[in-house]
Amino acid sequence: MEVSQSRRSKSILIALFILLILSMLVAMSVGRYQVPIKKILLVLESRIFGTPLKVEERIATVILNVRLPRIIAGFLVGAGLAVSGAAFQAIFKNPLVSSQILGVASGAGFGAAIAILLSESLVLVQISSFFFGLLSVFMTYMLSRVRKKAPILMLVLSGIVVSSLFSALTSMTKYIADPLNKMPAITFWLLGSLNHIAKKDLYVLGPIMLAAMATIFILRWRINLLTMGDEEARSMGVRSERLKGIIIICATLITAASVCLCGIIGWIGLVIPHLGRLLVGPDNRNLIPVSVLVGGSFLIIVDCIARTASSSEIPIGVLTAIIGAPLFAILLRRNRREL
Amino acid sequence: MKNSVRIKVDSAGFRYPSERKLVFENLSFSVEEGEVLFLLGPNGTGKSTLLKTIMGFLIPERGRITLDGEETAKIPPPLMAKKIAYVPQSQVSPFPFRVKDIVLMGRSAHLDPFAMPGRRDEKAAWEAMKQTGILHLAERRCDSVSGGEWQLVLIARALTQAADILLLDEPTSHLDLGNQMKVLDVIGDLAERGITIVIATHFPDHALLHASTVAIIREAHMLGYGSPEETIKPEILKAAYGIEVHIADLSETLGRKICIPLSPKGGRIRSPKEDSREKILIKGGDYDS
Repeated sequence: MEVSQSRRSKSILIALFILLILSMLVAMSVGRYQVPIKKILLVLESRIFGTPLKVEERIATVILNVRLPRIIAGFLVGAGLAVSGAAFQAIFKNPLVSSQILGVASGAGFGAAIAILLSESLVLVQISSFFFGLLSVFMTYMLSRVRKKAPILMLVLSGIVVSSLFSALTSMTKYIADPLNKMPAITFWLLGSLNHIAKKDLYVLGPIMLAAMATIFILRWRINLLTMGDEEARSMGVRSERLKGIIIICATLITAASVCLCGIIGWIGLVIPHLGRLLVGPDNRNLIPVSVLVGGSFLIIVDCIARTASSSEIPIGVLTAIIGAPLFAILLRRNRREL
Repeated sequence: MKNSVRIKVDSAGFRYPSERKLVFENLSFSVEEGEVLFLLGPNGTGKSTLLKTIMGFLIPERGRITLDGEETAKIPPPLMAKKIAYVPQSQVSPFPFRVKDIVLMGRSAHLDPFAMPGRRDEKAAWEAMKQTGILHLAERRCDSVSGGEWQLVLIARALTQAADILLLDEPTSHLDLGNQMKVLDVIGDLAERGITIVIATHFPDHALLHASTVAIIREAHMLGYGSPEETIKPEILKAAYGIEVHIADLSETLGRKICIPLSPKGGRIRSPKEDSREKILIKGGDYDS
């Protein structure tokens, strides 16, 4: 029975990996220029093995310079937000939180907006976004503590308070911003879109996100222990405070980096871990890799819809909310008992 | 040969930062290798807090609490977990882990921070579940087991730590009679295997079953400390709980003493409802009202 359990998780992982590869291929193929999958493979082949290109140069440029960075960004952001959601849920012992609910996303958004207002430097935007993200999760946690504990509902409500504070501050930033130049930039970017992914941003932010995800991935079994509470985890030999600190920093880094890449994209951190638990249960040994695969595929697929559904592009943050909210409502109804 | 002292509580006092009153003060006792110490005392008397200070979660304001000569709050958690296992008063996790995964968590003390539990750890978890008699629950979701089963799950988890001291915080509270005995039997088995045990409980009678030493605490002070014979006495228990208790020696029939509380109203609890009194009248003919 034990064997069949882990075998089941393994086959789910393999299936999800295939789904991810397929969604990447489809994303490379669809768009204003339809490129057949065969030609995509030829482009990739020449790129990977250095063989001469057998298709037109124009197609290779579209795939390698336009679509591939966007797909990689979509994967990183989707996987990253899902992993950070799963991690936040575990350490706050609360299945209803995510970086968005805890106010991290709004905090990071404000940090980034104010940095855009004041400078053009990506590094500064990233640092400011990370700092305000961390500040907001700290504020939410402090606000929600009642007699040394942070009850589920208090944490969610405090998150709403902190979120709206930072959203208001972001609006303030927009109000101050130059209405012709900076304000549209901040507004469009905060709506959430993978449209403006620049390769050079990916080279900076990609490794940061990968490193933070890898840290959470390596620690994923220990994260299970944190769901039992700090003291219990400590009694089992875990340095709870330190581990929690590391996880919060990693999850906040991921959120801040994804905000810098493509604005605020909501719902992924909340919905994907729930979907993952339906598939493989709450054990983070399986849940974290499943969140990576499902989150990554989900955002790539949603981005395809955002690009192709209408003649002008729909902001992806709007789409994830339209898809995520009802999906989460269904999950809530199904799991009412567990809340 | 005298056994070596493992835990030493030396005139320890503790108070929560926001409160004026000390939870306990000037407490001194020690726990030797193989000893089974029962901590008794009314609700809110600081038994759990005392266990938490022994575990090093809380730092005593006065005095010292040491394990093998080292102050417990300063022992790094990984080392501590190899020496003492702790069975908390725990609510079920908000995530429906499987029982076997909960039990497996106890192995973390023996694994590197980045390591995953392997075959050997799973075997240890299996062994612990066998010892506590919950092997049949291994695949169950932890939110589907009963209160008594959950206690046994936590004890099994503590056993996988392979520590030779076990601290239990009211493991039999909220359990029905049958489950209380199941948990106590497991504790008795562990005591026989030579594991040092400190257990906080609400039931003086349970101390008569397994204790080698009893400490009775009320309002921050020790009312009695010594063998069960010296401490489970009507006067001391009255001072602790404010009620009369009756201690009966049933050595001939049960092979032990028992301790039962008596109602402050005078021993017999009257039924407030007329109809239920009638039922008693019909059932037991000699009932005198």
